[in-house]
Amino acid sequence: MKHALALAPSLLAAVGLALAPLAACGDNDEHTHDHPDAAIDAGPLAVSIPFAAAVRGTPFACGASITGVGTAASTYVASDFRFFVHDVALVPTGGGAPVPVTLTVNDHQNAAGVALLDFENATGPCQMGSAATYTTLVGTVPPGTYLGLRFKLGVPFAQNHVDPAGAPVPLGEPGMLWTWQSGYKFLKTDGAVGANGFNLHVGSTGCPGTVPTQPPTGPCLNPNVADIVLASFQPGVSTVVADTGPVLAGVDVSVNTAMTAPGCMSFPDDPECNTIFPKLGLPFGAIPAGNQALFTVR
Amino acid sequence: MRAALASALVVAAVACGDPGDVVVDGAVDARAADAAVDAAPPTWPFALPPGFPVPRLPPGNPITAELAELGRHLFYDQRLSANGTQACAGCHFQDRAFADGRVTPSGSTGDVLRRNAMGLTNIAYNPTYTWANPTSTTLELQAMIPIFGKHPIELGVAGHEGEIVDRLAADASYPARFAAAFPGQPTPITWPNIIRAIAAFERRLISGGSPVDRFAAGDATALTPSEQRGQVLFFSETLECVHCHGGFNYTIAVDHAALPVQQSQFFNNGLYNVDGTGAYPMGDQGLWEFTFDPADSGRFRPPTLRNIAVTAPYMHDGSVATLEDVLAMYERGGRLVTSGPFAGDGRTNPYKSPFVGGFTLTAEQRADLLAFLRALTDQAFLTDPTLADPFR
Repeated sequence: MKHALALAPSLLAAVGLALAPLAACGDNDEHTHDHPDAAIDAGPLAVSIPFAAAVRGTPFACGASITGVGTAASTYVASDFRFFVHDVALVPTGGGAPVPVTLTVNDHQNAAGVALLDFENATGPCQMGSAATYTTLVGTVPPGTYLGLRFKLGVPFAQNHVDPAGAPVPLGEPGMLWTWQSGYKFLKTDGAVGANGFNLHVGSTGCPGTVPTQPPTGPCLNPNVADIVLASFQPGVSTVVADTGPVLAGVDVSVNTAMTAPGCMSFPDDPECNTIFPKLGLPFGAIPAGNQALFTVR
Repeated sequence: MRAALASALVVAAVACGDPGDVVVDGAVDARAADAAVDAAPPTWPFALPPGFPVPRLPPGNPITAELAELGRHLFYDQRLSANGTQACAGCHFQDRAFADGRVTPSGSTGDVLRRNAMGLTNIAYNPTYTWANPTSTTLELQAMIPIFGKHPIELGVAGHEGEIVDRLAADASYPARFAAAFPGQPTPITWPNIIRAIAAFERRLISGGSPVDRFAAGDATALTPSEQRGQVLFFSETLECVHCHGGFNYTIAVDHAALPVQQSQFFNNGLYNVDGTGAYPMGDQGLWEFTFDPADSGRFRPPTLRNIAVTAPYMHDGSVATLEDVLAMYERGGRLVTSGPFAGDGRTNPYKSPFVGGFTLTAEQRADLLAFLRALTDQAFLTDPTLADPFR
């Protein structure tokens, strides 16, 4: 973070990108020193992509009480909201192939392009996280004008099953790990209605192998990585809103089927997942995927 | 010499079993590390089991073999208590994974402690120390409590600091051991250095050689079929064990050098519900003691399950006698205390973790799960001569 990327205001307007003033561009630092003009002409542009978390329109906060959740219109007290993303890309204005965003490596984004967005701050009923939050992706893209954002919700297979003890951050996060075999919870949004915990944990299932403490022996039967396309996302203007309200709208969050996970934890025998997965853009057993309803653009 | 010692002394105020109110010499406190010592990130000089990350080391206390070996001697040395009757090891027995097998231990002068002596397996990876203290973030801080605490008295050092330093200085081997551990210090036998050495030894108490580990490493014969079935059950979404006891150390209350932020994790597991509204027994209410938030009542740090079969009795107050009883409690979704001053149904404790929901097992599944938990015992750790009492 030593040098802000210097760009003329006119160029800024031309590319239609808001530049994060403190975002440094890794290798480009040295380049800027030696050939500042060349850097402006050809160097990557800093981009920041802000996210917000909500439940039925109410901003997520640890202990926030939200009414009208699920089919029984329950009052739901939120206790976690974190998710991994990867393959983040901006779509060129007018169409064309998505252009990958090179995520800046920091404590929440790694060199493989995996980031953990974290809205909980370990207060109140948020008992499984840490005080730090992380709500804005930072990275670089080639110069250009962009309209539209794509990313995948989850951790790519190649990263999801490396030894969690040595995995590069944000992997290794204890509260997000299932097991080495099944990898990470891609999305963890916890809450409760009274004493009934209703936790949504999305991750890969059916990862082959009989030993939970070993990586799977092949690809997972249900990767459960959702492909998210937000065509109206304007860099520098838009915020991505993750709202679990629409995702939970078809399930009664005040009850759980006995002998299944409290909420929906991706397991194929859990009926609480039946209406949730399609709204994440994921199939669930024989139930086909629908349009994802978790992410919108504001 | 006394004057110099006194200035370097760590001061203990009233210690009630938790170090929230202890004043610490800055040189011992990792958060106020000596900049000269902190020139480079500390490195880990010992072998680690496969898959184990490098422990986070406090910047003020780089670890060396000489320091840890000095710490081993001090850990096992009864001369460290004021009346010469108790060592750190008096409540931490190697064959019990450094727990002591008692419900609650007694200090060197007979004071009974309120909490069960924890096993010390892999405490280098703890984000916090003692059962429920978010402010006790290093072993150096934790060690102050049993050494200097007065309420209760454990080693009873407060008021006898110089006397005990003189004992060590007059010993045949300690002056050379301190000199080797703290090269360049003209008077290395100080309480801050004693604490540094003990903490360094405790960080060496790393266990990763259980049958479960050998099975994970590819030895298909390391676990019996029953233990293997129990392992699958343990990691299942039906039992939810791994929400609090997941990861390489079988607890999510874990920290190591590669994690960006230190975490602290505390959960209410439904052990008590004294008044039906979530209360724990007066005088031992967990994280609540630091926050006074009713929702923090009964929240304690989940310990590692490594070597759990040898650390009975269980829970912060030692009130669950056997591993079978622990499993029955979780199967029920909380403990029912039927009589006495603490009667109540922990299952309906409103502050209980939502992941302690209960489950139903067949007799065979129960036996399988217990077999798996017992297969987390690392026999080599329990008998490793380099971790044993050097005075025997």
